[in-house]
Amino acid sequence: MIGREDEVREFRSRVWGFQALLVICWSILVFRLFYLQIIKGDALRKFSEANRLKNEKLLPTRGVIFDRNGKVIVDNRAAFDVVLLSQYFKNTPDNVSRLARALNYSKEEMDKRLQKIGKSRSYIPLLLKADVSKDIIASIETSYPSLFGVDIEATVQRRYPFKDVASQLLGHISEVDSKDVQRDSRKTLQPGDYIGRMGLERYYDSDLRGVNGVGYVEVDAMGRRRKVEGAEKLLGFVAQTEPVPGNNLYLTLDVDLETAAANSLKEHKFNGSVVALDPRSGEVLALVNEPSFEPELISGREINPKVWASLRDNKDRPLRNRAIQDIYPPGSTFKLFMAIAAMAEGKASRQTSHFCNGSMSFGKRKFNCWKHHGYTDFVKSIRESCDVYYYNLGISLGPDVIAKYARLFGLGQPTEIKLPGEQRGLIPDTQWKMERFKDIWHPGETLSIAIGQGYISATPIQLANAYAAIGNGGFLYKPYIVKKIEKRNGELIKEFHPELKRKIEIAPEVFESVKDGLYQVANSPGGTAIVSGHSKKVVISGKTGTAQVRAFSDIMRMKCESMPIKDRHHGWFVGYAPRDNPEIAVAVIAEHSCHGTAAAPIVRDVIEAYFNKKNPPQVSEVDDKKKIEKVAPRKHSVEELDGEGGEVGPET
Amino acid sequence: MESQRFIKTFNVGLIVSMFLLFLLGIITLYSAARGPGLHGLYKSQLIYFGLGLVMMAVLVFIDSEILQKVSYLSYGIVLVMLGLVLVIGHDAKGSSRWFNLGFFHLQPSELAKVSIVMTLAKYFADEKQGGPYTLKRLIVPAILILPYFLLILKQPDMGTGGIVFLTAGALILFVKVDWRSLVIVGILGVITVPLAYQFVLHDYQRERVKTFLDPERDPRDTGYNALQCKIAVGSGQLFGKGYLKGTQSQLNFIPEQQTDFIFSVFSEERGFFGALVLLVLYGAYCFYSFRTVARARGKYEMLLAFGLTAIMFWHVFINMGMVIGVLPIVGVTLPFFSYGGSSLLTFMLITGLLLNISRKRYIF
Repeated sequence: MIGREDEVREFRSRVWGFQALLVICWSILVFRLFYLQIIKGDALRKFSEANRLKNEKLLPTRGVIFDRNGKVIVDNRAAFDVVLLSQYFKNTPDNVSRLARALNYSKEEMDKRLQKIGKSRSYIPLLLKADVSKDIIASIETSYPSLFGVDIEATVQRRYPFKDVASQLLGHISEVDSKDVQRDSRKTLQPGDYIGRMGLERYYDSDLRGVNGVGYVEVDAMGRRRKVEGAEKLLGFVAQTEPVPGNNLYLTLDVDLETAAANSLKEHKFNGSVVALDPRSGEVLALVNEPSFEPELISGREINPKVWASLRDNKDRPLRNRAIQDIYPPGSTFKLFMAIAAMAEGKASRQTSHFCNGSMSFGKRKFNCWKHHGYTDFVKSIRESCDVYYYNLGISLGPDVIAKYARLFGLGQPTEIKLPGEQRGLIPDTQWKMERFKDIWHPGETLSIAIGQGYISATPIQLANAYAAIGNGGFLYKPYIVKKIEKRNGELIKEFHPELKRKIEIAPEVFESVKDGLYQVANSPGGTAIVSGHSKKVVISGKTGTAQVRAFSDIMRMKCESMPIKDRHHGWFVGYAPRDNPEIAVAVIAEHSCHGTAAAPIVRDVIEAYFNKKNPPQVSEVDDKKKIEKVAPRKHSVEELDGEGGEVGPET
Repeated sequence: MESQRFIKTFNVGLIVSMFLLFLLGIITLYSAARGPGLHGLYKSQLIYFGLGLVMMAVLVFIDSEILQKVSYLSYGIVLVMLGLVLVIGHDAKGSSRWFNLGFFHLQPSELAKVSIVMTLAKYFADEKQGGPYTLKRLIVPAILILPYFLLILKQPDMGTGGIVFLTAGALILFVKVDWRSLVIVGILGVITVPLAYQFVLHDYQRERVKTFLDPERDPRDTGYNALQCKIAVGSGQLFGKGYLKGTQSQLNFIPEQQTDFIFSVFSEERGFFGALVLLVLYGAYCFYSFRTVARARGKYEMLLAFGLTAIMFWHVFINMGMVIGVLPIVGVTLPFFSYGGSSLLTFMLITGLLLNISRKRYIF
């Protein structure tokens, strides 16, 4: 026997003590059950039968986006969804066909919706139709009480009142999926939340979204929500956490200018992009991409898969923010950086002159110019975009010096605009060539670079920003689009100010010289945009350019207009106005338009729209303009055609 | 003759109350688990019950000498498992509590409850001096309990950790603690707990404690469960809404209603009367196991039986208490009712051990 006998006896007596403890604990349970089931039982029974208390997520309203003048460009509107609480719905053929009639659904569509019954918990409302019209709401309401369990749910729908204006910039929103919830490091996302998918909606999502709240909703025996008097008293507390609305964004964008720019690009029937900046600050005034889309169509609780597929799979890429995400060879717009480099390095002066007889031999190859320019000096080389002149500058500068100056103006690096997916473009040099191709730089390649073709590429916003820096005498800003973020109640959260990326330390005479050239492009006889880019209203300076789509191919020898559209060159025009202390810099790429002269009128439209808004034109002035249009319809004259670069021969 | 003696010494009351509890349990489980994805849970529960019966049949005939000998071994094995489960355990809802053995989810914390009782019983049985115990003499048991307690809290499994703590505590009280030591522990507790609360815990931890003590502070989550349970139980009234007719449970308003909250389903359908019957059954089970304690033939068996009874008692009291809102919500199962193989097999293991002990009575 283990243990002492007396000790074991003592244990035995102690068992009684613990049995008494058990009786006490059981009595507590019995009293509590008695209280709940007998004393409170009646009230709780009624509550459980007539009502189902449900805790529900209260979605916050997403922040509103304003343009620079306080115009609302993104906000929210009330919407109504029809939902089904399947536990209350009698699934009879009669009821189903009545429901289908009320919702305007075919029988197949209705059946498809109802198949989801039982796949989720019965108290979670099943969406039947999102964002329904008032007629449908009326027909649902009048169908009571036969449509037990069918309910109208008030929700919020994101609204983009300017339809397809600035869509890629603004972005859209959609319901989160399981991947988003997993990715969310701050664990603030819940199923059913909405997040921004592109553009500002995505970049500033955490500011715009707000914080979910929780509320209790009583669902009655028919599955409809209603408030029950005294529910809080019975349950002993009020349970409601208000959602915190998202913050509002105030943009630097001018929606009128944005609309004017989009309309101009549309009228000229080109796909492409327009970027307008304020050279004094880097504020983005307009950022347009064509073709575009209506964000509201893909921001709802239910998105039509056909609409989504047609946007996603469209070969014209309407979802693409070309202005920052697409890279193109800059073409002759690059000659400006060549000119600046040459003058700053002492390889050229205003008097430096080269003779252009329409081509230039280099090594075993012939490099063409688009025209016989004859004797060409510095300013003329810009005005008339002489390729031979820049072949000569290219040879004297070499690729690494060219790259150095291009980079000074922000090419080949992100502009650091706060938007998702910005591309950096490419400024090639000898080191890059070696790393990329394990090959040395061939001198002939310098000639391609000199006229902005070959490996070199840039985004529209990079060129707009670089020309802004030329226009303002060397101040390279980081472009920005959001001016300030405010709480719903107006409390300032964050304000953004112009941010200088660098002051480009180049002598003012250099800037003056190239600015003379840019001025003459659209304002002096022989300028490549003297017709297409000239404005009676304001002095526009700028440069045409052509981005080759299929470089170094025999096709290049064909006339651009006779090629298949997808092989035609893109046209550039980048410029600013007025000539001194410019207020606006604009870059336009008109895809497959063959010539820079096709892009120039769009730049003019944007700049004129800007100044028209600033100083509204007199009535007579408008008439005057119309008259001129009639007399001289704007067409590309042969003189104007800016085919530079197209003639670069195949490399041998 | 042998068989007559066997029946006489066999604890029939324990067996009968276990069977009745399981019967009511499986019927309730059928009702609680009719929602999508839960259908057929009662079948696997039946299979576990069958397995449990086989296990019990084997257990009954093991010599308790052998149990004594493997007590410390079981302590070591379970300790290793508790450590391992944190590293390679299966993750569910942010906690790693079990090993996935394919056919079975093994939850070492369930075994820990039984193992800690065996270990402490062995320790105190071997302690020749006996009670009352001063604090100094309780250092070794404390060192035995602490790793279990901390490893289970780390999972995190507040419920099981609490059960281990309370069970060990009851066992220590049972072997008798020196009254001065009890007073010291009490005073220390009264002083350190508020101090630790104020100065050691972070803000968010304090918030958790507040919510823990008062679930309705946080109506989003735990408060919601407490509320729905209250409505379910109360609306059962005297005789209940009838089998399969509990609106709260049938409409899935109660989360985890097949496991931790199954008592709310039962009392909604069966009312106050049904709940009383259930309390009587659990009371009977505990009564018969207390009788086993009183009649155990040796000190080890007595302490073991007492510890097992304590596990049972705490489970029933804490589970029912949290469902009807007298205790905070923690994850503790209701014996023989809650769905889950690990839980069911543990309680059948406990019953088997109690039967084993009751076979050989004290023969003074």
